[in-house]
Amino acid sequence: MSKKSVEELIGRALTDATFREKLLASPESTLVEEGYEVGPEVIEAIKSTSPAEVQAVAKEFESQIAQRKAAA
Amino acid sequence: MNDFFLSWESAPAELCRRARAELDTFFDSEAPVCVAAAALGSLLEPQAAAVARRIVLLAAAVHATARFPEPPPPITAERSEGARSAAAWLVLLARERAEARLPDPIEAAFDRALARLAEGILGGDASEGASDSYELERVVPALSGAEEDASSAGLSGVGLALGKLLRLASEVYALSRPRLAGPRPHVLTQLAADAGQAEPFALALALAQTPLPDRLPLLRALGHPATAARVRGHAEALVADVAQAEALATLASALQGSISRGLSSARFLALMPGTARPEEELTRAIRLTRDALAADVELREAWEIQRWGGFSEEPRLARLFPVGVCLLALDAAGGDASARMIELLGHHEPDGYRYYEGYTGIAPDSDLLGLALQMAVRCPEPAQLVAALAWPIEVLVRNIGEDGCLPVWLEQHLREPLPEGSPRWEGHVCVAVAANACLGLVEAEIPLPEGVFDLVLSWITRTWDAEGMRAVYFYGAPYTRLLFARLARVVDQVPGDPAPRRQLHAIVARIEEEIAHSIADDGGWGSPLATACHLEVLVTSPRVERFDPLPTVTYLASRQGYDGYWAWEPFFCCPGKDGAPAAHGSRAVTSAVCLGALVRTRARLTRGS
Repeated sequence: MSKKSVEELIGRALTDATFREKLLASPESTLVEEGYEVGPEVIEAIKSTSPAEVQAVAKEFESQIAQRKAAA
Repeated sequence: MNDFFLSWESAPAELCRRARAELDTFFDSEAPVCVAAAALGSLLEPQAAAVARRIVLLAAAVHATARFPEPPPPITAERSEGARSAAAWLVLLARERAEARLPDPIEAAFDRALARLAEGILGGDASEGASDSYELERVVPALSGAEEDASSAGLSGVGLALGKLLRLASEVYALSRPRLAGPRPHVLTQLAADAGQAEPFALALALAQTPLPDRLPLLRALGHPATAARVRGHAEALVADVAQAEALATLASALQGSISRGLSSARFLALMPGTARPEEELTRAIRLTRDALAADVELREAWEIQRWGGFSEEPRLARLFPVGVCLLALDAAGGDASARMIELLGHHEPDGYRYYEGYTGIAPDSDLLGLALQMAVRCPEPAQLVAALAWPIEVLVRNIGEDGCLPVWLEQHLREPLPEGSPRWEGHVCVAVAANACLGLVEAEIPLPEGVFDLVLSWITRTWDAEGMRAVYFYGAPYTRLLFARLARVVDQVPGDPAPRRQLHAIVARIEEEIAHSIADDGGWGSPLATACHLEVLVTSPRVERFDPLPTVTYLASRQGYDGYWAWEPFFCCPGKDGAPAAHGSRAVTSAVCLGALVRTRARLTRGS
């Protein structure tokens, strides 16, 4: 998987709540459906992630991400 | 945030409101501190809430010593409530003691914890060892009902491990909650270093403390497999220690779970490639400043203009020194400054340069002559420019004392003496000025009478060793350190007695060690000017090999203004309005010092790569 698509994947997971929930609930099928080709290490990392914690991080970083987008 | 906070009936409502509001900035209900406070409180029913309040107030005091700084707002609010200090939290802790008494042994334990924290806070060292256990090694034995015996000692160890586990959990939790004023992660910093990840973690820490803070790099650094494994292992060891007390096993497990969840999300985020490009920021910052200095043809903002100095009815202008500092930096950055330097150098008088142009009520000074020589050698045909300064150099030599003292004010042997009634200028002796003068003499390869240079160098080093900053009048400590380092870089070009040269190198080695240990975790030393001075010292040292300049580059680049300049800072002492003590500085001068440091950093990185 290219660096860009990993960035896209994480970025989308942080900013798109529906995608995030789907990804964390069933990583493999969601990645296939959405056209991401990822290595086993990425799937393992997603599976080991605590959905609640990622939700919390995403929520907390929303304003930071928005601020940086504005700055960019 | 906390259901159990804060309801002192006899306290003013405003006090409680503020305390509650500020606690909300530290902790939310799921924060490890709140989880621990509730669990430890339950050991002393029915006074659980009172114990929990004590724990939270202790933790607030600890976190207040090392919280992530809030980025300053572009425009300061008309009325803003500053963050409460650690000492203020301890006062509230004492207030809580008056509100709800606990059994004597527990009161005594909290008193000892408070006293220990107060010692650390008032002694200025609370952010480190004294606070990384929240003093739970004192509180836990008392809450567990242990008497002063062997069981107390064992429980003290359990409390210590619990406190450290709580600190670790709090640091992990805070990284993913930028809304909360969590503690800066000094335990995680150490664990990352142990895992061989010191440099990426330090850079991430600097990025988290810029005016546009970004904590995602910190989460990524935490999610690095080596760091995450180290944190997990450390937590496991602490949990094992805490689990010796059965009543605390559930709490330890909860804290471990919190750490584990934090590491998992960090691991997920670590998949994302880093976006920080400090090398690119370095190049951009250099370009912006170089363009700003080049475009500012007169550098008028840098001028010192005295309209109310108390020594003259006429407005007086000092241009050469501050503008010269800017042009030297522009030259170092590859900008063409020579025509402007030649123009500046052309304005000298019979005895050399007077600080205020055309004003003979001030003696020529050695600082200005040193700077002029540094400029002259960077111009085309320097020999001609230096030759024109032969008499001013002679004046300088004739003013050197028998003990080697190179004075600031060259008052003797002038062709154009000071007029009667001239003001008496402060700062006759300043070793920083003497160092700058020597720097000019060395760079311009001025031949001095036999032994004179060694004599002056011996006086500088001897005086510095004996008096330190007391022997410096005009500059702050960071710029003084930089002048010493610059002189040390060139001093061996002049053959002579090795003793004073060795002494100078020893002084600079001590300076390097001191500043390398005093860098803040935002990558800076308190202000852009001080940071730039120290950065240049470290990146130009032949001795310092393990200094990573990228967090410092991040500090400087993120604080640069949109016009390429950094903010005004006091640079050197000058007479103020009506003679009041004052300091001159300008955005251009601050920026010149920053530019010089960044250019030398780029050179070092290029050499390194």
